[in-house]
Amino acid sequence: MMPAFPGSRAPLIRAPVALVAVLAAVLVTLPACGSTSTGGSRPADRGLTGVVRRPPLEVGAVRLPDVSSEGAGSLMAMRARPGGLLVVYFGFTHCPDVCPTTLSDLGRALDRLEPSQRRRVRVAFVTVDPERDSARVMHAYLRHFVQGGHALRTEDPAQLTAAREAFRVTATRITYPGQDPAAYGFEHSAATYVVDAAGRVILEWPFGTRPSDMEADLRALLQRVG
Amino acid sequence: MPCTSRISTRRHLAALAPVLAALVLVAGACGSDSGSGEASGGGEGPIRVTDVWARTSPMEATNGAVYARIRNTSDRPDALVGASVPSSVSARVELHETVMTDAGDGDTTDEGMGGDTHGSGGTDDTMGDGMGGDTHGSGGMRMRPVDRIPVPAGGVRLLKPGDYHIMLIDLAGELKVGDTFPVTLRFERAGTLKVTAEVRR
Repeated sequence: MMPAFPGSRAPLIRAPVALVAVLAAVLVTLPACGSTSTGGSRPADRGLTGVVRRPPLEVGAVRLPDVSSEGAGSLMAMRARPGGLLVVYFGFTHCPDVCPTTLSDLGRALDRLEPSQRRRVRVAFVTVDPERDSARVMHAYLRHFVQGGHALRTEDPAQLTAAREAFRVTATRITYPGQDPAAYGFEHSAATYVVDAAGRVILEWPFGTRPSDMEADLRALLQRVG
Repeated sequence: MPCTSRISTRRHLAALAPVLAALVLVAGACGSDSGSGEASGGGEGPIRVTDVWARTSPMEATNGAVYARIRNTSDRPDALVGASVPSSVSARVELHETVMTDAGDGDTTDEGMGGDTHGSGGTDDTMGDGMGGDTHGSGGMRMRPVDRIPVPAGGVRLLKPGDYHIMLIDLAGELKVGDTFPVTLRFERAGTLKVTAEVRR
């Protein structure tokens, strides 16, 4: 279970008066969070923008080939290093709108972290389209948005399906009438997942989460796992 | 506003040609109404297009998207019905809409997708079976081509990520941050408008 998250910003507050004011603001804000989602999840802990699922998804057993230069084809497990975080996104490089938006926003969020924090966050981009996303394309595409990311690609459908199911990711291939069948797309879930060292998804960002919110969540979570 | 004219007066084109020519010259001198030098265009007609931008993409990317803010200053609804870019940018362009289906839907039908286009669906080959109902707040995102993007009378239509956009298909090369390229927009009423898109992160 997620520990409560009190006082994460306390070191910034010197005067007791300020502390009381912050606590009051938090109390007022909490009920406003409401419930925006279906069963099995609830609003994030105080201070987090993303969604916390309870119980958390266990994804640590998932291993996928890392085709980026960082991995050279070795299997990468879906768990962070101790004291760090792993951010995982499923997408495809032919995606013109949703995927580049998310990767770009994630890259901007990561760029705002101090180098000591940035080093504790690994990023994995999993293609749901290994047919068109070669290792070379994957690597170049990811690097364009996120420095030092891991491009994960498997040609084994069962391995990809197992990975998707662990994260509850959907990806349905779509072709468009009257168009080249090779120009297919996907209907796909578009959340971004933050995984801890135990292989648990501790936070999910829906599509459209702002870079500043991702940044704040990463800072808070790094403090929690550090 | 000395630069206001209605493109819909084009039906009297023959008689008005000299006048229009003069107006175009004047309009050109007006320049951008954004005042910031950012990518924009179309300051003279009822349709004002600003904040035109494309997401940066690497050489290896195949597709891209252009976004913009479209304001309709007239009291009649209009619609974006076409767009084009030079072949040095992309081979083709289509108007698209990204829509969110029910969370965790994962099915292969077009239910609830609205019916004003020809484009969505087709031969679906599901990879997402058995995953229903469990993606809370991050349901499936699906892109579909549209024939027209409505721009309400006196209102604004935003082309933005996860929403309406102009899809660039078969990109010719890298889209580098800071680069610009021309985009021609075709509106149902207001006619053709040339704007400049800026590549952003």
